[in-house]
Amino acid sequence: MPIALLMPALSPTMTEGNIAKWLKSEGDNIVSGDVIAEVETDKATMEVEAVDEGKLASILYPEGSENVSVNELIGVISLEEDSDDDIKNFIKNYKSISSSDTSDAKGIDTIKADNNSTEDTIKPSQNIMEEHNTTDIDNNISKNKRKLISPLARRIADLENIDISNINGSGPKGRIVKKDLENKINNVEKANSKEKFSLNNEVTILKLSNIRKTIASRLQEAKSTVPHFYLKGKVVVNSLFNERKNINSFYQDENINLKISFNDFFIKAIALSLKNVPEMNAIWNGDGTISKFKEVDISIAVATEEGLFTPIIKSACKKSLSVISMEMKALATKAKEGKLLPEDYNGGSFSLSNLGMYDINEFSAIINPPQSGIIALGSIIEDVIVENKEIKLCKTVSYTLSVDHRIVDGATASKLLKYFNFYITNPTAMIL
Amino acid sequence: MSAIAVREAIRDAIAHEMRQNNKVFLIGEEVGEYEGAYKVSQGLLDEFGPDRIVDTPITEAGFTGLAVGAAMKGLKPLVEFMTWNFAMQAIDHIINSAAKTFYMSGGKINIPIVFRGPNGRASRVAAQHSQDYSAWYSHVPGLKVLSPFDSSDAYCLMKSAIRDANPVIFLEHELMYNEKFILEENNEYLNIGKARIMLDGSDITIIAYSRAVETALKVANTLKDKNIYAEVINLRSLKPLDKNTIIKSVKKTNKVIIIEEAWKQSGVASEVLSIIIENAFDYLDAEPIRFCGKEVPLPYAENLEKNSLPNSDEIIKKCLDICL
Repeated sequence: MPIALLMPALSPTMTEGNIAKWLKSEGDNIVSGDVIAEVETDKATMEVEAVDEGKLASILYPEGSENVSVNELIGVISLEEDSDDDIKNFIKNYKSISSSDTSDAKGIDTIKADNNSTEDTIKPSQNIMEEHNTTDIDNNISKNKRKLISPLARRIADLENIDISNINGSGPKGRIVKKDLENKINNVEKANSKEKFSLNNEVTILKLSNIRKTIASRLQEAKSTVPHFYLKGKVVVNSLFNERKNINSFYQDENINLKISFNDFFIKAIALSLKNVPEMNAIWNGDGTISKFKEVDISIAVATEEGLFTPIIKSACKKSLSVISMEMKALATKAKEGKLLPEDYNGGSFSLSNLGMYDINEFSAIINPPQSGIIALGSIIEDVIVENKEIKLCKTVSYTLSVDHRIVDGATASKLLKYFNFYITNPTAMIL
Repeated sequence: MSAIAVREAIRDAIAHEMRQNNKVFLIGEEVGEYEGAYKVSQGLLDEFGPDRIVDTPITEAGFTGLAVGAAMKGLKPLVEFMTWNFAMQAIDHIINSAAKTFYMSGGKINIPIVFRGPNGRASRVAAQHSQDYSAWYSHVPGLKVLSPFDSSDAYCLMKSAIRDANPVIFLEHELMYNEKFILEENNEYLNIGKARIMLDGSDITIIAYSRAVETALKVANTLKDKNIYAEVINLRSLKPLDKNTIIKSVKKTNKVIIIEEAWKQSGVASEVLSIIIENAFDYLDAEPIRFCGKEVPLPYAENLEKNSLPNSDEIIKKCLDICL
């Protein structure tokens, strides 16, 4: 009996994925642990490993297939005793079965199929109806893969020529309702109106990558729902500048392959500051509660060609500068290769974004929900400051702290910056 | 405009019609000297005297048959049943004589009569005194069936019932007698066969009659806090039913629930639901839901009685399910 190869759910939020690459071709033998394919999710490109052994008999979605739903059959692994007809029948049978139940499995999902297995894999809806006869009807409907749609929605779909097969219903029992179609109609109308505007100019319409879509929706949500307030400041980094120079030339002299960046210092400084202001080491749960954390996990914004990623330095206040530096380098490389794993970017209570290397003096960043805040750091510049009625030349960094006002108020956030200033101006305090 | 109790509204309407038309008379147990078991006929004996406010023995079959005969001969009887539960003794006169004679006489004999009294549950009077007859009577051709909710309904519909040339079943609710409402004398409200929109809304239609309208308004109020605007329809007239108002509202909101204190099977809610399915099927965006009394003889125990009736928390929860 052949084994089904399903689109895996690689993160809790993943509903669909793209087949980035098949590393095995039809006919290849597969040993448990082999990487079969690479799947692009809303957050990263991840490898899909084989659990079962056999021969890759059929690939149902070729490389480049987009928006394949989780648990969709993407390929079939055959065993020795399976004939070609077995495979064909298996695929045919499989397609006629609704695969609406989702699975959180980390690896590839496989379902061993035999004639009775459909009963096991397709569970009846968890909603227990008051009356038994209606439950039976529901079961029959899901077995026949009937798409539930309200009469009104069906009529709208007919009138507007909307294909309902790819729409996920938001009504009870996953029924498609009017609201689900309104989104579709709006999208179509919006696309049309854009065409009208751009008649005089050549336009290339680009489809968003999953990563771009995620960034767009999360930041739109953040900017429109999180009440941001901003605290701006500037800190003298002369001693930090010198310390770093000394450390790095020491490493160089000793032939140690390590170079501490300014960013590493900033990560350490903000982590220690958060440890001192635990009110800010928190996230907004959206249900009338906030969660505070013992450890300080900081998300660091990393720019890649694909888009922005925010891998996390966990327990950053406990780690030495050199450990932070090494971890950061590894995470940045993974991000650029699209190889971050969910555990690399899930979580965090606070973010740091540094555009210093792009010659930006200062900027304000958007909070990464549900986090409490984000600090945006500019370049190190030669600056003039007044100290004790004297004008002095020194190096400074400007920063802007964006804070979710629902979690803390301005006074508390100011305290965080007070500590941050202290650690940056007195880098040796970071070893305390 | 002043607030008056539903009980007074019914009495005032009867008195008003009796002053206009000397063919109108009230007959029933305890309607005269005792001024009605529920004090609906308070002051009427004093004003109209024993010829027009007629006390009877405890014999529903007797005085109902007598009243139907009087109607055949051109009087306008108003028959009070102490409660509609007792009218089962006289139901042959109501159905076979009052409802059918106009048809069977080839339109020669009409029966202008009003049968009225408290219907449905009261408070802990047990199964035999708690029955809702709405579905029973609205099943029968030849009858008009009215079920007022507030004082305006009671006043206006009673006036229209007395003026109507057909037998009218007037179903009052004991627990509403004491409720006070502003009395609006609106010509619209005089129309038999016309429902009343108690609350305008856009997201879901809640249909109810009699005391269940109160539940409907309570549910609508809670939904409003969640930004769901319910339209509440008070049916008032169960036969004829105001199909247009129902269909129009469902076409607007695309969702509907129906609340009825009576039993679910073959009830008024079932009829309303059928009308919706037959006329507005393509406008439904969620399954229509009936919330009815549990299918048991209404229990005497207070807790069980309460649990047998539609529960507003349960209704709200279901509404949120289909609206969010």
